[in-house]
Amino acid sequence: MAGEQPSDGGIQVGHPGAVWARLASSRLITVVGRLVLGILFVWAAVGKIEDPGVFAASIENYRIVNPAVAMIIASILPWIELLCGLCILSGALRPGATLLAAAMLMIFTLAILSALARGLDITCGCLTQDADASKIGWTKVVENLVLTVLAVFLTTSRLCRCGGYRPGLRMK
Amino acid sequence: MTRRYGPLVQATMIVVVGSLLGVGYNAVTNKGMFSSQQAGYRGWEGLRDGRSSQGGVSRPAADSSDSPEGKPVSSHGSNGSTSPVPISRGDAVALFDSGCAVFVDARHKIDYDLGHIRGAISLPAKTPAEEFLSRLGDIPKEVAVVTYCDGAECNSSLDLAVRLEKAGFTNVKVFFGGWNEWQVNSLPTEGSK
Repeated sequence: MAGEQPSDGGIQVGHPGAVWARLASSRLITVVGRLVLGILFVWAAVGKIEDPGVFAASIENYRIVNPAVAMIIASILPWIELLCGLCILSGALRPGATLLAAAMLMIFTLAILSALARGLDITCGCLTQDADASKIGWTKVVENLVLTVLAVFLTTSRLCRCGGYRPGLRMK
Repeated sequence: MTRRYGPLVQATMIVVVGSLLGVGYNAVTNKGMFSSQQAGYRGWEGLRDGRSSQGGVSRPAADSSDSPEGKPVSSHGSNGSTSPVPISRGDAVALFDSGCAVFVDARHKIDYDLGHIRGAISLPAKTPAEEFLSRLGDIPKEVAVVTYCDGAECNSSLDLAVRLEKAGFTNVKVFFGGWNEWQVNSLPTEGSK
């Protein structure tokens, strides 16, 4: 009809979300993304499960929670990460797993930004005026943001292929 | 199954199951929050001086006036083996006044240059292995060495103390109050500030 935008399977061509939706509909891209995110989560979790004490010390370095709470988090969080990674890899509960992964990554990123704002060296929990000490923190921020985007992408990917999300779809 | 529950419910299920697994695993293996001692934590053999062994590392309060004095200055831990000994500000001052102890600053060099305990040497906790011993010079291994960083919440003094012990120093102490407590009490300092 005159005046209507061309569409592609319900997705408005030229809509800002069209590229995202097309990528999210690609099985190859979602499989690769799942492998990357799932393996990263599982690999990170295993080391922390083996030695909760070291992980608790890492949490304490952010000076957000006290040592007792840090140890509780260190005892539980790795198992949540492990389950998350396994669910992403296997596909079981995947929308929830990718959503949870995105949430955890955003929380980790906020924690790092908080430490950087306070002048903390997160490798030791030290207050420092050494500008070089913040480089590790900013690197981690970038890494986490990339992974967060990937997790959000995978979440919408699932919804895209299930027909639950159509950016730019005009409902009559 | 994915269509029966929304993502939020699925995420909640993962959190609940993961939490139960974490609690169960640590309870069975006596690790983490169920650990009866901090064995293996940063290479240290356990907490001493009455600090809590529950819930991770509990350090003495930064303000020593509110906390019991640390153990008397000693080169041995409570079980007779050599281990970094935490000391209070009073003990640190006594060692400083005696002139028989070497104070080692575990902070970044920049922070050290801005201000440090008078006479302390700079040895950041993450100093590469190849220059670690050279920085200590000819300090005898039996001399009392007191490590410190910025305060009670900093882990660098602990890490440095463990490294010093591994390097053969037998009389290593950790002043958890650190730079903050030292300068707040107007004790002798030096530096550009």
